[in-house]
Amino acid sequence: MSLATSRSSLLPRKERSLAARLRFSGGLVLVVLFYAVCLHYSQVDLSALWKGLPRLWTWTSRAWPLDFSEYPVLLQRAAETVAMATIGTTLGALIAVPLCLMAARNTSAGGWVYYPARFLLNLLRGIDVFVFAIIFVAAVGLGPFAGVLGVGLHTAGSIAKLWSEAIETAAPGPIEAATMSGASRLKIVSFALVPDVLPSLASTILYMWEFNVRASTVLGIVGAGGIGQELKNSVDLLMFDRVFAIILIILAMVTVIDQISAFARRRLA
Amino acid sequence: MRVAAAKGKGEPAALEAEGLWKRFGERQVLRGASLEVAAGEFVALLGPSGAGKSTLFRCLTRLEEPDKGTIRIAGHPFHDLYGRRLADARRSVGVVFQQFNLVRRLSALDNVLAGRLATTPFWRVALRRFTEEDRERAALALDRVGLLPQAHQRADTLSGGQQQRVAIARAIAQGSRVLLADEPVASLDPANARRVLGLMRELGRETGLAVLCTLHQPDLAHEFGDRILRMEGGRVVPDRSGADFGVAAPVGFLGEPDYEPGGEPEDACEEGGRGSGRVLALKGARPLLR
Repeated sequence: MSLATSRSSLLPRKERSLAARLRFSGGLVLVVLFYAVCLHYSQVDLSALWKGLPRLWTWTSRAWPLDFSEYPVLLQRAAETVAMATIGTTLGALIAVPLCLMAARNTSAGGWVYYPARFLLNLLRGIDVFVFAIIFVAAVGLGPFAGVLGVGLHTAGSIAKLWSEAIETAAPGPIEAATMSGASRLKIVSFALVPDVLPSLASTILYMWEFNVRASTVLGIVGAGGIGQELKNSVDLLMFDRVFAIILIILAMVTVIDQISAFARRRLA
Repeated sequence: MRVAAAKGKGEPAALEAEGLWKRFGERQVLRGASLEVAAGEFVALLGPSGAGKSTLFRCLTRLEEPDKGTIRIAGHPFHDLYGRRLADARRSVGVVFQQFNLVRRLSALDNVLAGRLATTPFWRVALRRFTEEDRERAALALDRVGLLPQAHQRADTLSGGQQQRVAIARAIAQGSRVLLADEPVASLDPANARRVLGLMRELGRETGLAVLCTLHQPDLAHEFGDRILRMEGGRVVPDRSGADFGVAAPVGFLGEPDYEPGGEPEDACEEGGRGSGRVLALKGARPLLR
C-alpha cells in the first residue's frame, strides 16, 4: 500500500483545539466591536459629505486665478517654516546625543540610567509637536521661536529612539576588538561604534528634518509662526484664491525639501 | 631556540589558564579547561564547532566571564581584574576574530591604530588625529603584514585575508605579548589561510609573541602548530590525531602516536595526504580515543 492512497497528504494533520478556535472567533468579535464603536464616535456622515461637495466645488472654482500678489510675505513665511524646522531639528539632535547613549542597552551605564532615559524619550516622543507648540506659545509668546522649541523637544525623543535602536543593532564585533585594546568605554564608543553608525545617524537627522518641515507647516495655526499662520488667516477670511496659492507653495516647499533629503540620504548609504 | 623558549623553565608562561568553567543556562560548556602557551610558541586548538573553543577564547579575553578558574598573563593574574586594571592588562592581549571585526568604515591604518587607543587622549581618538609616532608605528606594523600600500584603503574594501592581516598588525601595534585568534582562517580560502597562519607563526618566532589559535582543520593545525591541543568535553587535552592522521591511521594509533611537538610538521602530515586525513581525523578521532 502506497503512502499516497493511505493519506491525502504527507503532512501530518494540523490539530486545532476548541480553545484555539474560540480564541480566534473571540478576537474577531472584539475587532468588529472596536470598529463599530469607532464608526459611532467619529460621526461618519456620508450625507454631510454629499451636501458639502457643491460648496467645495464653488470655493475651488472661485479660487482662480490664484492670488500670489502677496508672494514676498508668503515666501518669507515659508522660509520661516523651513528655518523653524531646521533649528528645531538641530536642537532635537543635540539633546538626543546624550539621551540615545543612555537609552541604548549596549552603551548605557546600567538599568538606573537606561530606564529613566527610556521613559524621558518616550515622554518627549509621545507629545506631539503641535501640543508642545501650544504650550510654548503660552510660555514664550507668539512666533516661530515657540515652534522651534516644540519641534526640538518632540524631535529629541524621536531621534534619540531611532539612534538608540541603530546603536543597539550595531555589530558588537568591532567594539569587542576595540575593548581588547585596553581603552576606556568612551574611546571605544567614539572609535569603533560612531564611524559604523554615523551614516544611519545622519540619515535619521535628514529624515526628521524633512518630517519637521511638513509638521511645521501647520504650527502657525496655534500661533507658532510660519506659513500655517497665513493659511489659517486666509481660510478664516474665505480667501480661497490665497488659500490655494499657499497650499501650492507648501507643496513646492515640501517637495524640494524631500528631494534634497532623499538625495543626501542616498549619498550617505 | 624558539622551541627552547616554548619549553623554557623558570619564567612563567605567556598565557596560562587553569580550571576554567563556564555554563550557559543548562549547557555546561567548559569543565575545567586548562592550557599554557609559552612566549614564541604557536599553539593550535582543535575541535569541532560547538566543542567550546570560542567560549574558551571569549573567557580568556574576559569578553565573557568564566564562572571559575584562573588566567595568568606573563605570570600576572588576569581573571580577577576589573575596570581600569582589566583594561590595562588587556593591552598585552591581541585578538583576531573569525569575522575580522574591523571598523568597516575606517581605513586599514586607522584600524591598526586601534591598538594605540589606550594611550591616546580622548580628543585625538574622537577626531582620529593620532600622533606621528603612533602613525609610524602603525605603518611599520602594516608593512610587516605586507599591507602598507593599502594603508588608506577602507577596511571593508579589503579581502578577508587582508582584513585578518590588518587585525594582526593591530596586535603588533598594540605591543601585545599574547595573540588569541578564534578561527582566524575559517572564512578564508586555503592560500590566504596559510598566509595568515604563517604570519602569526613568524611573529611568534621573531618577537616572542605567544599565539593561541583555534582551528577546526587538523591539516592546518599540524602544518603550523608547534603544539596541538584539542577541546574535548569542555576540557583541553593534548591532540593525538597526529597518529590517525593519514590512511594508515588505525595501525599508527595502536603503535602510540609519535607526533613530535615543535618538530617540523610537514613530514607528519604530508605522507598520508591531506584530503583523506582531514576526514579521518574528524570522524575517526573521537571513538578511537575512547
